[in-house]
Amino acid sequence: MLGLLQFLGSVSLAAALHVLGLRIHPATAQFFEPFLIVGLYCSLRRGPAVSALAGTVVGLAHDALSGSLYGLHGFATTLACYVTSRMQIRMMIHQLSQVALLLLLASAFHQALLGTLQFLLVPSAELPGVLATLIKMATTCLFGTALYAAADRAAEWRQQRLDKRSQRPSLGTRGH
Amino acid sequence: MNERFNQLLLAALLFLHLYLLAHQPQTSGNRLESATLRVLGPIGHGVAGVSEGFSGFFSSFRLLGTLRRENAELRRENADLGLAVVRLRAAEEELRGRRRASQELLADYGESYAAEVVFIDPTSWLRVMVIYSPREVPRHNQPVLTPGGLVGRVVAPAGHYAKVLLITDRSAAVGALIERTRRQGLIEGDGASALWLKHVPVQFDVRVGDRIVTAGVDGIFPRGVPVGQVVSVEADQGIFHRIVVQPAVDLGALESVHVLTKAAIPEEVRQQLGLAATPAPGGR
Repeated sequence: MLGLLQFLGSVSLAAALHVLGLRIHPATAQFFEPFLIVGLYCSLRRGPAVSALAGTVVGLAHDALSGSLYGLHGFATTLACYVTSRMQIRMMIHQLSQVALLLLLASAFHQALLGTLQFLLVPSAELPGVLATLIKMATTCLFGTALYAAADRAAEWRQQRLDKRSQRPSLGTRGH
Repeated sequence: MNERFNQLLLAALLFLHLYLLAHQPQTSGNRLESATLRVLGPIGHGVAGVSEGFSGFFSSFRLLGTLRRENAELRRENADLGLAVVRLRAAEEELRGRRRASQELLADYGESYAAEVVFIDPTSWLRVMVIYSPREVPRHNQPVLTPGGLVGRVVAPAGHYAKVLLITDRSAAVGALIERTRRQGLIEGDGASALWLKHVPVQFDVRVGDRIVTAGVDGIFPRGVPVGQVVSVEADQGIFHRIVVQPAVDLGALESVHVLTKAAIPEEVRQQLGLAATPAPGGR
């Protein structure tokens, strides 16, 4: 239940960042995709089924806030999150450098899916440039890895606090 | 089993997306999209409000600096404007002096008064213009000129306003002569921006660059007013030259003109001679 709430909070935060980016500069959406970061982060922490569901929610949220075909990001993000989760489990990826590489590949896969779908469904649509795609891959990798590392560090810190609390000598009723 | 469930779930989700992609509503979003937007819309609105608040907060700081800068600039501009006013007064005085000088220059052709050019009708290829004289009332057939040369004549006076037929109009005609040889001819407009000098026999010498002035024989224009300069001379198949004349005055760039009060032949003489009140060269 807590995980679901965290996930919904993350989607809301991604929506806020998406809108904020657009308000700062309309081109921000071409270089930074917070929805994808949330989806990929979820796929690194959960199994393929949950990742696919998370990808669906995140992708449709992105579609609702963008002017593209409804379902375009949904399809691409769902597949990208599922594949990422499968690869992470199969290759047992946990090191930060490996996570970064996986995120980079996942982002590239996502972009390729989006480009193909756009090309097939909207032939007149302008495909994103190579530079914009590379920058988006880099930002997704960077922020995704940072989020993964920060979450690990936070979990460690929480665990340490719990351990300390359990080791603290009790001021109980001995001597009474 | 778990693996199979995952694959089935993925297939179902992808099918859902493909269904959504295939059924794009033309007018409004589908229900799922509307619901998503209803949830995420307020978040976006809130972010927009907060960002506006922040930008307003920071922009007020920026505004303070801008106001100081603008205030300093306005003070500088005010001082500059004060100087400009002084310069303009001097220029006005100079302009008055020049106007007096140009009137003196035109004094050879008779008394004149200044008139403003209200507009030149562009649809008629600069053939007609309207002038306004605040002090004098223009009269029919009064010659209109500038210190540079001949412009035309008044054809339709209306109070302080008057329509002037330009010399470039097809229906305008002016008795003229070649200043170098004193050979006379008839200037006619070509309806655009040039003039023809007609009725100059081929045996008479005409050169490119010859100055053409009014001959003073048409009873309207005084003698010696510059009309233009010969720009091309061709031997016609007939007995006359084909001479193209460039007007002395740029008729498209006139702002003010002078109107001569007396025609070459005074009205009383004209009446005594039994001539028409307005000989109207060119047929108007």
